[in-house]
Formats: sequence, structure tokens, C-alpha cells
Amino acid sequence: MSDSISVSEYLLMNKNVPTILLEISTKISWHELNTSADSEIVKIRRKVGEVRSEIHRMRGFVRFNSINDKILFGYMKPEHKIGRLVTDIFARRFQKNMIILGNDHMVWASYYSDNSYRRYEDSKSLDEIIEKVKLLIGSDNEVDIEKIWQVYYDSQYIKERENHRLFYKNMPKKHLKSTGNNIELKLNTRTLDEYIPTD
Amino acid sequence: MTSLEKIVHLANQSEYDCIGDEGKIFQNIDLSKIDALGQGTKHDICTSSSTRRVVDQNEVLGDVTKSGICHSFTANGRCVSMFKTLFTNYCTHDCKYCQNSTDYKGSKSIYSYTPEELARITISLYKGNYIEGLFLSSGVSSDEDLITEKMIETLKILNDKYNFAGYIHFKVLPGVSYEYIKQASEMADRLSVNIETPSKNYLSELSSTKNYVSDILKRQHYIKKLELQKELPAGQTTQLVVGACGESDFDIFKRTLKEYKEMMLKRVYYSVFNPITATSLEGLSAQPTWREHRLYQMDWLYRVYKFSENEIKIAFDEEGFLNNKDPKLFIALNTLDSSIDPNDASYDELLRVPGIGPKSAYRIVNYRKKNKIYKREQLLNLGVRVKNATPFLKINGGEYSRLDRWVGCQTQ
Repeated sequence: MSDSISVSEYLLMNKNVPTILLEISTKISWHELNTSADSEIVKIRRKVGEVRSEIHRMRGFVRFNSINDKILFGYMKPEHKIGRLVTDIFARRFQKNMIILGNDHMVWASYYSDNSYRRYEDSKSLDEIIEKVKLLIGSDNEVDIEKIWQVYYDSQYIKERENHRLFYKNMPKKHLKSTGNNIELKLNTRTLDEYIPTD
Repeated sequence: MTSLEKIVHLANQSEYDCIGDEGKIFQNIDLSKIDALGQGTKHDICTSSSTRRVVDQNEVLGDVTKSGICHSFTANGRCVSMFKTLFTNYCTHDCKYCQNSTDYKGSKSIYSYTPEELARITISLYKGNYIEGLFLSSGVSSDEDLITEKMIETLKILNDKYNFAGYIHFKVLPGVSYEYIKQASEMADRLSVNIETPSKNYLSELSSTKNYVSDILKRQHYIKKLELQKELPAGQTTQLVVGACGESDFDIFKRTLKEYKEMMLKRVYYSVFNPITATSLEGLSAQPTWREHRLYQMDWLYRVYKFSENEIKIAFDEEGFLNNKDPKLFIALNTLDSSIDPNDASYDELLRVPGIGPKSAYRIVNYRKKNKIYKREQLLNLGVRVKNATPFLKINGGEYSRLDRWVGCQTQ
């Protein structure tokens, strides 16, 4: 991914970038970014890192429900401006399926087939768009496999190896919220509550 | 931009022959089966989904990545990247630590998937973006070849019916025939046989039905042979239970070296022993998790940092155990006599300094082509853990004596 997208393109996706850094970023290669000790370039490295890290987390933690097994939709509210990119990545992964990701204020849709993307964006809410899609295809046959996932997820837990610190480090609440990830978020809250005295 | 209507229309008319009956399949599924067969793999720790395979065809479902993706983490903090499951929990081996053993004294229900059912669950979890792929293991049932045939049937359905291009880790069961291993190697990213212990004698203490050489090492050799003919995208791996039979870390290290050098393994995984109720070893005490961590550090020094065998040997005590300290620091304190100047040390010399890893060593080597390193801040910007590295470095003339270094590293 890093090869086809330039340093400055990644930097532009960051929610907060000073103009001076943007100017520098257009002149540097990935190699320079990775090896420099210049303090401005190190700042760029961190900002690009924030963006790439959020992209990676979204790719991991976003969940889809499907309508008719061909239209996959899910909640996503990223901090950085990565909505379009992440939606396209999923469209390519699930080619010939329509991908719809969004939140209360923004929806991205993408469909990938025969090496090209069809894209749609709207500043409506995800719920509104999903209702519209259901009307369009005349079906609200949702397949929900969350229950199977929950049983499987719980089966992998080993009591003797409980390590909450590592869990929180790897699954920060921030990212679980921005992907609307219910099951782990519940677990996250539940385990946290155990540490807070109730009386 | 394309209109919403147009995209919905395109998606809805695309040819996809597996719609309609998902709901029904899941209504009939026994959740306790998913639980039991999932639990059967919870000690299998190879969850990496990174592979060198590149998916660039049209008309497939899914892809893979070089880095792998974690889709969740358990409350153990461990990555969940695959649907890790047994095909059946029926097993005729008597491994003393295992809950599927014939020695198991508790009550349990026997479950099996059908290939069709397992493929369908995998696809559904995959399309929900819960997993990167399938990790398929199994009890050997009454016959390892028969059950492997069913496991392969699952891969074929994924491949032929669903055009599935996601990740597949396939467990080769002890004693399985070459022909089946060959078939699996054509569809899987990674194959693995669990060696469980570092030697034949240790295995015979844990199981009377498995033969270390003929059931396990020979199968590893088959996989190696297949790899030499055609690359296995994510290579061959294996796993050991650590501390179930009194073996030392050095015993494990010796086996690990053989696995890497003779069997061409990509990775060796270590899982510390935890007793399971109603198994023969339920009374044996659990091993500390740090033992696993130190073994991984030792493994990393050999495989990634390219330390020599003799260098790594320094980290083991007289009984052949690693203590709960960073082995790299321990080795450095015992081998680095004079301070290292980051301006002229080789890449290999830099790698031996605590606080400098492959990435920061690479950065230093590139950076110094045009710049001189004379202050700690530069090293910080290059990603060095300066606090750990300083006692071993010569920076702008300043350096630690050997004694200062020992004192300075006491707290780490």
C-alpha cells in the first residue's frame, strides 16, 4: 500500500497537518521518511504513522452485516480522513459486493469489479442510506452472524493467561467505538468494571 | 461518483451462486459445537496471517496481506486473526496434557463439522470481517487419513464453490500420508505439524501413541520436500508445549536450531504448559508466561538478529534455563568489552547494542552516510531506545566504563 500512495497523500489524510509539513512532505521519498533524523521529517513520520495505524485498525475492527449476502454494511467513524480509502480497500477485498461504511454524518460506498471502482458518498446517516438500499432491492433479509462470532470469540479465552493490560493496549476503546465494535466493547467495559469498586 | 441506485443494481445482479440459504444454515447450527471445537484450538498460538502470496485475480473473494491483520484480541491480549477450529474433537491419541486425549477423565461431548458447514461458517465470518481466514486442525478421529480427507474437502469447497482467496493454515496431523499433505500444500498458505516436545524421549513421556520420528519429523520432512518443489506462501511452522515434561530451555533451543536449519521452518512457536482439569497432568504446576516470552526473545535473536549459536548460549544458566531477564542485554553485558561508536560500527555491531533493533540499525547506517551522529537526540529521532543503548555507546567522546555499564543496567 505504501508504494502506491505517496508520503504527502498519507499526510493529507491526517486530521491536523501544519502547511509547512505538507510542503516538506511533497519533496521526500519513503526512504527519506524512514531514515531521517531531521526533526520536521520525524514529525511527518509520526503523523503518517497515525494515519496508517488507523487504517490498519479499521481494516481489522470494522464489522459487516449483509443484505442479501451482496451488500455489506458497517459502522465506521475514523478520526482521520481515511473513509474513502478504507471503503475502497474493502471493496477490492470483497469484489462484486457493495461496501457501505458510515456513521451519523457521512457515508462512503464502493463497488469493485473488473479492475475498476464505482464510488458513492453522502453526508446523510448510515441508517438512512441502508433504509434506502433495502427499499431499492425490495429486501431486508439481513444475515447476522454476530452470535456465532461471540461463541467462537469466547471459546478462545484462556483464564490462566488473562492479561488486561495487553488487551487494552491492543484494543483501545477509541478504535472499538470508531468501528462500532459491540462485542469487544462490551467485554472491554465489563472487564473494566471489575476493577472499579461498586460500593 | 456513481449513483447509489446504479451500484446497488450492479451488486444485486452480479453472479454469486451462494445466496439465500445462509439464514437457514445458521438457524440449525449447534452453538455448543462451535464452542467446543473452538476451545480445542485455544492453545494453538500461531495466529499470524501474514503471507507472501499475492492475490491479483478477478472473480475471487478475499485477499491476504504481507503484514497480516488482527481482527480482535482476547482478554489474554492475544491476536485473533483466524477462525481457529478443530474439525472434530474425537481423538485416539493419549497425550497427557490434552483434553481430547483418550486419558481424559472428564465428561465431554464429541462434535464434528461437515465440510460444507465449516466452509459456510468460514465464509460468513470472513464476509463479516471477523477473520483473515481459516486455521484448521483436528483430533485424529479413528484414522488420521480419513479425517484429513474431510479437512481437505473443506478447503476444496472454499476454493471451488466460493473462490475463497483468504488465508489458510492447515494442520498436518501426526502420521498423515504424503499424498494428503501434497493436496493440502496446494491450497494452504501455511502447513504445520506440532512437535510438542524437543525430543523423542520427552514425547514418549507425554504420549504412548505418537512416535516422534515416524509420525512427526517424517511429516515435517515431507512438507520440506514439497516446499523445495513449490514455495509454500507462509512456510512451515511448528509448536511446542513448554514445561510439561521437565525439559530445559536449552533442550528447546537445540531443537529450534534443528527445525530452522534442517527442516527449513519459517517459525517455531512456544506455548507454556497450563494444566487442564481431568487430564493426567492436572496436578502438574503451570509454567510462568515469562518463560515463553524469554524463549521468543531467544528465537528472535537467532532468526531476526542473526546472532550465532555460541553467542546465544551465553544467556542460558548451568542447568540450561533462561532467567527472567532480557537475553540480549545479558549477552551484551558479557560480550561487549568496549563502547561502540554509532558513526563507524557495522550494521551487525549496532544490532548487538540493547535498545537498537533492525529498524533503527538500518536507519543509523543510512543516516550517517550524510550526517555525523554526535548527540543522543539524533539517536532518539532514529528510533533508538536511548536509555537502554547509552551505556554501550560512544557519543561525542563520552562513554561508560564496563563497571558503570553493569551498574547502569541493574535497573533494566
